[in-house]
Amino acid sequence: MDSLFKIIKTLLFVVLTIGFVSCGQNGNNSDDIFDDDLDQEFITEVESQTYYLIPSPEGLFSFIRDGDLKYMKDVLNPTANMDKYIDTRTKELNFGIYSADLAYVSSFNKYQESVDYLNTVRTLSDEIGISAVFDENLIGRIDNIIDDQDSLLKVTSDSYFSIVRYLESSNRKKSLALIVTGGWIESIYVVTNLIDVYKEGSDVVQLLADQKLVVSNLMSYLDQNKSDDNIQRTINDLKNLQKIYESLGLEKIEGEKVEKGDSEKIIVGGSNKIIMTEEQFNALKAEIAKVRNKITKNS
Amino acid sequence: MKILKFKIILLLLFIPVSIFAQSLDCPSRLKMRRATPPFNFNDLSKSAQCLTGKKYEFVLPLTKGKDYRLSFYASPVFNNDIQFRIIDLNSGEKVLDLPGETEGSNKGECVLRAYYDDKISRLVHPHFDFYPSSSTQLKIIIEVASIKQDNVDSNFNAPETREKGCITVFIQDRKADVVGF
Repeated sequence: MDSLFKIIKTLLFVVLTIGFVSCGQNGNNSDDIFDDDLDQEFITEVESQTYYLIPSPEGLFSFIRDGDLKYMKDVLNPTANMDKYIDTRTKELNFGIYSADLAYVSSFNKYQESVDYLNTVRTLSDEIGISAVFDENLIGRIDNIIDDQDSLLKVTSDSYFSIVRYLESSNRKKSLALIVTGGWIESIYVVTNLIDVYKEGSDVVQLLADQKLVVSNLMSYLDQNKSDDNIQRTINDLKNLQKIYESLGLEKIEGEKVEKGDSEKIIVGGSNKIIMTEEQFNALKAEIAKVRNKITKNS
Repeated sequence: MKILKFKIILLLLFIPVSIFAQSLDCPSRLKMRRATPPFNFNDLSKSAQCLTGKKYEFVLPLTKGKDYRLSFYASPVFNNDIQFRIIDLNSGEKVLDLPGETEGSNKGECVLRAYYDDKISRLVHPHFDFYPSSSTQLKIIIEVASIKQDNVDSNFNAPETREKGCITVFIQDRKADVVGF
């Protein structure tokens, strides 16, 4: 009987220890968002919750992959710059920037460059505490990538989405906000640098103009986390960019027929589109370069 | 005696497993969703932790040049007692206003309950196709109903009780048929 109690006591000790260790884990390192403190905050402070959704760099590049997107390696942030990034904010922003560069090079089926950027992203992920994203499954897929655009793209976009999902699961909203911001900045920087001459109404200019909606989401998303100094600094850095986007006007869509053959499709968007003038485009190109270079040069 | 020991050991091991199994990792639920060709998975898809009696909004940018397919999933704990509204922020129009389920749950009547499609002779989970004539934002408003008093366990203090589950906004896209980049 004594031995039975000993076993029970030992097991109880083990179970309780595991329980306490689990409860005491920092949310940053846990996949579990079933956290009492979080829940109380969730219940008492948030009567309604708004989620602002931001497209991934790959999502943006996919619009122009078949069209005007040219390959220009010089516009990317060199992987050698990684050593310059010391503090968490810079690491997280540049993690987003490198993720966008990875999406860009893999769009062009650049195998070696993709591997280089993927390794940079993996190294930085370790430094910002999200290396768990690169589990055996993902690493296996990366190692087995063949020179195939679809595989490259699939692995890189899956990696990005895994990172987003991991950060959401572990409730690292501020890190996610900075990574997403870095990714968006780099995507716009790359696209603006692919345009030599402004062409009114071109698809790429329209795509850039339509980013007004994304900027609005991005700024609202950052605003939700502005109590953090790193986020507030990032908001300040983006103020001029926000002003440029707010200055874009609307134009009535004319002469474009919308097929309504499929009655189950819901037509949205109304009859106005956002327009960007040459002056606004040039202002955007200059400002995005300023913001982006400040981050990549860590100045 | 040995059997008793074994049972106690099993019980002690099972209890913590049961406790930790309550964890909600909503973002990982997206792993279960697969795009249906010709649509592709859109990484704006989101699965969030939600509570009964609360309202959630998702602001989703849609870019001209792509067709979007939206479908929604909710944890059983909500009993599909959820109202879904979608507002097109560019035009200001409400383009969808449907409950999670209705009595008949016919096609186009509800958002969460599968309906039988005669054309393909199988159950289909409802989905809604959006075509942006210009880039816009959709505001998806999801109102999760409070738990009705008679559904609440009498051992709980009713006003404090909130049930928790995941709601998934699953987004797919494809290049638009009519116009595109």
